[in-house]
Amino acid sequence: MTLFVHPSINQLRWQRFKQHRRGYWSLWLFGLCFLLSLFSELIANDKPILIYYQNNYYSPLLYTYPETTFGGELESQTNYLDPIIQQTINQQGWMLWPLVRNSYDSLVYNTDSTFPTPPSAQHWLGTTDAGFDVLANLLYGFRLSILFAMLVTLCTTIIGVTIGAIQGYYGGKLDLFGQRFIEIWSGMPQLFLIIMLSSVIRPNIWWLFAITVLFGWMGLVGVVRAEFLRTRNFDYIRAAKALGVSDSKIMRRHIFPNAMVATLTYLPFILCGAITALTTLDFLGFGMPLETPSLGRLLLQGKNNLQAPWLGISAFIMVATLLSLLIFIGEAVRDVFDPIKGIKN
Amino acid sequence: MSILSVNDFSLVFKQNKTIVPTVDHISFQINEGETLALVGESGSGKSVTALSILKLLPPHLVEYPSGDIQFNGQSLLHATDKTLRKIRGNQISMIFQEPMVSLNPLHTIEKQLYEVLAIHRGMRHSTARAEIINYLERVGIRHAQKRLSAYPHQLSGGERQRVMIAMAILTQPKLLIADEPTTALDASVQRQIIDLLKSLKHELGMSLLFITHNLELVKRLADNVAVMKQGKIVEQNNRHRIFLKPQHDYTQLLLDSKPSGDPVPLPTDSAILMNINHLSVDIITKKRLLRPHEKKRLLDNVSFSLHQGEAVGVVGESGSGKTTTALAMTKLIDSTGEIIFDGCKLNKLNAKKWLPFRRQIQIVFQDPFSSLDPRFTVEQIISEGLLTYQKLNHCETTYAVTKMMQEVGLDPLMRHRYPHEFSGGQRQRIAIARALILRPQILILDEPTSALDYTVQKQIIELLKSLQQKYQLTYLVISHDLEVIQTLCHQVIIMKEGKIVEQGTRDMIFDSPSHPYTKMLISLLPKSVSISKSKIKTNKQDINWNEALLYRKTV
Repeated sequence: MTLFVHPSINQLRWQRFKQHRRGYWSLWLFGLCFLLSLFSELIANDKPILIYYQNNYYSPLLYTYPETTFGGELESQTNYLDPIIQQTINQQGWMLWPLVRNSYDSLVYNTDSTFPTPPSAQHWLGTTDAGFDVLANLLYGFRLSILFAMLVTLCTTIIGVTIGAIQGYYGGKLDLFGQRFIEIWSGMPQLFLIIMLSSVIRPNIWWLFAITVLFGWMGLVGVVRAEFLRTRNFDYIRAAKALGVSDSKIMRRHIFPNAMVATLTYLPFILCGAITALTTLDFLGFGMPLETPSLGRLLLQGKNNLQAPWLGISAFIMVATLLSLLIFIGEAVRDVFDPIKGIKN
Repeated sequence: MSILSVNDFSLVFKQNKTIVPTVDHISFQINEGETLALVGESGSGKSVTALSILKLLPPHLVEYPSGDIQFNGQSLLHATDKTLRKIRGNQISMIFQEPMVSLNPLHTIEKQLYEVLAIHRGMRHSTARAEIINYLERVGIRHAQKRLSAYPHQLSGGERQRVMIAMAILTQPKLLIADEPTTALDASVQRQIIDLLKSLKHELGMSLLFITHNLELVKRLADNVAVMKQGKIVEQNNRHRIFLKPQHDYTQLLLDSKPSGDPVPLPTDSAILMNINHLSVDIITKKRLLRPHEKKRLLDNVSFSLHQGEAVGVVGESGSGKTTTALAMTKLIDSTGEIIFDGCKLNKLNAKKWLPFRRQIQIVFQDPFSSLDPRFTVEQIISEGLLTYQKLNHCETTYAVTKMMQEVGLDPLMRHRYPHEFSGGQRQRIAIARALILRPQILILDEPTSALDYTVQKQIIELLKSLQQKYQLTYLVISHDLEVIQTLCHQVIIMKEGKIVEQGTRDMIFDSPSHPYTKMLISLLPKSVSISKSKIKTNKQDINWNEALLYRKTV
C-alpha cells in the first residue's frame, strides 16, 4: 500500500504565503529589523561591549563599574566616552565597542556647531535639538514601538476574541447587551481621555498601554462574534453537544480554529494601529516621558526644526517603512486565507 | 436525427498544476423528443457533463482534451461566447437541483420570468404578463394571477421548482437539461414534478436530458438510460433493456441496491426504555413588547415510547417535526412535556445533570459531510465523546478507537486521516462510531442514509442492523424514505405538521393504513413493494402495457 501524505492546510497556506513575493520578503525584512532592534544595546551604546583591562575582563553592559576601576578618580559610574578613560584602558588592554558609540540617552558634548547637528562621521544621522544621536533614538524607538504594539495586540486580541466568542456562541440577551455596550464604549473619545489624564498624572508607557487596550479591544469582537454565530449551528457543533462536550471545550476546539483565520488576518493591521496610536500621542506631546526614545517625538522635532531635515526625513522613513512592511504582510496573510484568491493563484 | 450529440468527450479539472480527469471519453446522442437519463453516483461526472454542454464551468479550471459536443450540428465546445448566449436559455434550458438558490430571493416571480421573456423573446411588459400567467398555469401553479407578485420564499419547495420549470420552458427550448430536479423535494412532490415534466415534454415536443441517481424516477420518465461511473459511461441502452436485462456489473449493482429485508427479530421480553409524553416545541416568530410573543408550534403533543432493542421509525415530509423531535429528545433545543428515560424524568434537569444521560442517548446526523469537524482527525473525532466521560491515556484511547473502527467496518490504519479524505459512506460510519463508542442504549438516526448514494445506503442499513442485534440497541430512525423504514423498523410513527397522525406496528402501517395521509404516503412506494399486496387492476384500458412489462419482473 502506498501512503500518500496529504499536506495539512497550514502547510499549504505557508506554501501560498511563500508564493506571495512581496509579503514574504516583507516578513523577512521585518523579522530582521525586529531581531536587530532587540539587540540594540549591542549596536548602539555609549558603553563598550567588552573590556580587557589589566588581565581582567569587564562587561559594562551587565555591570556598572566606578571610574576608580579603570584608574579614574571619581566613585561614580564610568563614562567610557571620556578620552582619558579610553586612553587608560587602551594602554593596558583593549575595548570592544558597538557599531554606534551612542545610546539614545547619551548626551553629545564634542560638537562643532549648535544642536541639531547635521549627519557626520560620528553621528550618521545627525543629532536632535536636545543633543541626542538620531540613529540610536531611531533604533531604540523602533524597538519600543514594536514591543508596545505587540503587547497591545496580544492583550486586545485575547480580550476581543474572548468577548466575541462568548457573545457569538450564547447569543440572545448577552449578545444584545454586549453589542450595545460596545457601541457606547467605542463612542468615547480616546484622545481626549488621554489629554485629560495627562493633566492629572504623568503618563508613562504603562498608562498608555492600559488606555490603548481599554479602548482597542473592540476591533476583533465583530469578526469573531460573526464567525461564532455562523458556526454554532453547524452539524458538527451539534454533534459535539450531543456527545456531552462542554461549552468552553466546544468553543475552544471546534469553533475557535474557524475564527482563527479572521483573527490572524487582522493581526498585522492591529499592530499597525497600535504603532500609529503611540506615535500620534508622542507627536502631540501627550505620550511617553521625555527620557524614553520615541519615533513620534522625533517626528515632532522634525516639525519644529524644519532647518534640520535629517530629523524629519529619517523619522518619516522609519515609520513609513515599518507600517508599509506590516501592511504588506497583512495583505499577504489575507490573500493566503482567502479561498477564492487562493484557487486563482 | 439527433439534436444533441456528445462524441468522445473528455474533461479534466486543473488544480495547482495537477490534473484531475473527471469525464473520460463519453459519447451519447439525444434525438428529437427523446429523454435520456444520465444515472450515476455522486462524483461520477454526470452534473459536470451537463454543465459543460452549456459551457457553464469556470474556464480557468477546466480543459477539454478530446471530443466535442454538438447541438443541431453546431459545436458548442468551440463556440464563441456570443453564440453560446444565444443558445443558452433559448434553445437549451436548464433546471437545477436546489430551487431555493436558483431563484433570486429579492425579485418577485413575475419579474424573474419577465426577464427571460424580455431577453429571449423581446416581449414588452403588457404582452408578457399574459404569457407568464399562461405558463405558470401550464406548470400547475394554482391561482397564477395572484401569485405573480410572490417572492420565492413565499412558495413551497414544489412550487419553486414549478416556477423554475416555467422559467426554463418560457423560451420553448428544444432541449431541457434537468439536473437532479427532484432530489431536494419530498416524495409526494417528486412524483408530481416528474409527471409534469413528462406531460410538458409531450406538449412542447422537446428533448430532455435527465440527470439523477434515483432509478425509480428513471423508470417512469426516460426513453434511454446511460449509466455513469467514475467519469465513464459503463452501459447505455433503452430503458427496457437496462431494467430487464442489465449487462454491466455496476448496473446490476445499482438495480440490486434497493434496501430490502426485514428488521432484526425483537428480543422476547423488552421493557419500556423511554417514554415521551406530550412533547411540544414552540419557537418565537415575532417578539412583542409587553404582550406575549407570537409563537409557532413546531411540535404538538407528541407521545410515544421506545422499547429496548426496538427500532421505531418516524416518517413525514420536511417540516413535519421529525428532526425537532430528535433534537428535543437530546435536549439540543428546549421543549415542554415529559421525557422519561429508564424511570427518570429528564426534561427538568439542568445541563450538568443531563450529562450522564447524554451518554445513553446518542444521535447520528443526516449529513456526514457537515457533522464531522473538518479540522479533526478520525481518531480525534471518534474519541472526543469518550474523553469527556473518562480519563484515558493515549494508548487506551487508540485501543478503544481502533476497536470501534473495526466494529463499523473501517480500517483502523486510517485513523489519522481527516474527514475530507473519506467518501460519504465512510463518513457516516465514522459518525456512527463516534456515537457508539459511548455505548449508548438509544441511538437516534436522523435520516442516516438520505445523503448517501444508493449502493452505500444498503451497506449502512446492513451495518445498523448487525449492530442492533449485537448490542441490543434501541433505534429511533427518522426518514422520509419508507423503504428504509420498512427494512429497519418494528414500529412506525407518521408525522405531519408537528403532530403524530398515525402510529402502529410495521405491518399495520404498511398493510392497512387507516389515516388518509398514511395511505397517500404508502401509495408512493415503488410498485415492486406494494403491487404484491394490492389487487391487480381489472380495467384493461388502465393498464399501460409498456409500463407493465417493466414491473413484471419484480412482481
